[in-house]
Amino acid sequence: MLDALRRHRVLLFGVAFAALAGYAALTIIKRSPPSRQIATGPVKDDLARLNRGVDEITLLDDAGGPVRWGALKGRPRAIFFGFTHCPVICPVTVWELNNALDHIGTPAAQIAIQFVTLDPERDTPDALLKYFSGFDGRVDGYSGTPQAIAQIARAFEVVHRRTELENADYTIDHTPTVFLLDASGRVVDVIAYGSPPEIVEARLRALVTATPGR
Amino acid sequence: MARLATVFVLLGVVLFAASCAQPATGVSVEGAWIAAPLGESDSASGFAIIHNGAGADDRLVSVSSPRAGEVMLHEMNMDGGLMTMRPLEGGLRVPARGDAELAPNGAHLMFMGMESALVMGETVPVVLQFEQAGVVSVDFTVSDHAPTADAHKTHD
Repeated sequence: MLDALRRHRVLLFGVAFAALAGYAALTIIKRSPPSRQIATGPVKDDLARLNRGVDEITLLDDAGGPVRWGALKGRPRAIFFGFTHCPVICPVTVWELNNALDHIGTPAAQIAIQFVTLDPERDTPDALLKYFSGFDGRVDGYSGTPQAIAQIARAFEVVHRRTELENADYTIDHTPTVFLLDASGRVVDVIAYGSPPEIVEARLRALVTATPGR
Repeated sequence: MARLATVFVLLGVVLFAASCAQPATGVSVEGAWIAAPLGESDSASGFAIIHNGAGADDRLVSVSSPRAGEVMLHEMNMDGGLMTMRPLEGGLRVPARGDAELAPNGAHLMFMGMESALVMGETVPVVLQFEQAGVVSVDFTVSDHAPTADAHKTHD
């Protein structure tokens, strides 16, 4: 039974992967997404085009109340996109950011970690609140309508694709980049997924230094 | 002059012997950890560095744990900004006298179908089945960071 399930899953993964690979190839040809620039260091001019024109979009905070995306400005932020059923990227990224902020200490207290779900169907405000409950309010999860979330994701050039699995389950492949925003809401840097801890810490430290006196 | 050459030869022998301090054959695993799941997730991911001391390539073919319904080998791939995950077909190659890494941005273990959520600090027994080396039992520690993170720091 397990074997049959596994074969089925492997087949599904194979088909999904082929489709995604095709799509990815097209994407690479069309444009170079921000996450690809990290290899040689962020290109500030290109980052400046992110997070534009979405201030009026309304999301839901983890208390279930509406919140204007633009109203979240005012402090330096580390923002990433994901889904709470994600078994690898999302927990690893949250732990990395949390550990780096712990390491930096007091100066890092002003940095907010914000998570925008790409799976609003399952990630309700309450689910997000529970998911991040171990971080003493340091990590805030945001949900919303699929349309609102798609608009925010697009503004960060975050790609996401739902992939069906067996038993009506699904996963979401997505861009795993962490975006660093200054208090004015400008994207000033990015952290590539899989960066070593000292890089994560250095980038966050630089974010604090770049936003003095708030 | 000949004496100096002898010293160098002896030094070479000593260095060679030191480099062979690891077991000359078989597989050893270090830095094994599982990223502590958030919320009430019934799945988690595991990472480690696998050393192959043998003179021939080996292959990690299957993994199991009494703590999980199923453990799969998965692989991450970055394609045009999209991170995709799929089962690693044919297992993970561990090169002769070399390492293979199970890491968050590459090949890794997927623990699925856990009856109760893993907790920080928990030790999870895992059985790794290799083509050549056979069965290797390893304890994975549930943690918020890689135990080898500090070691990596000095290498970078």
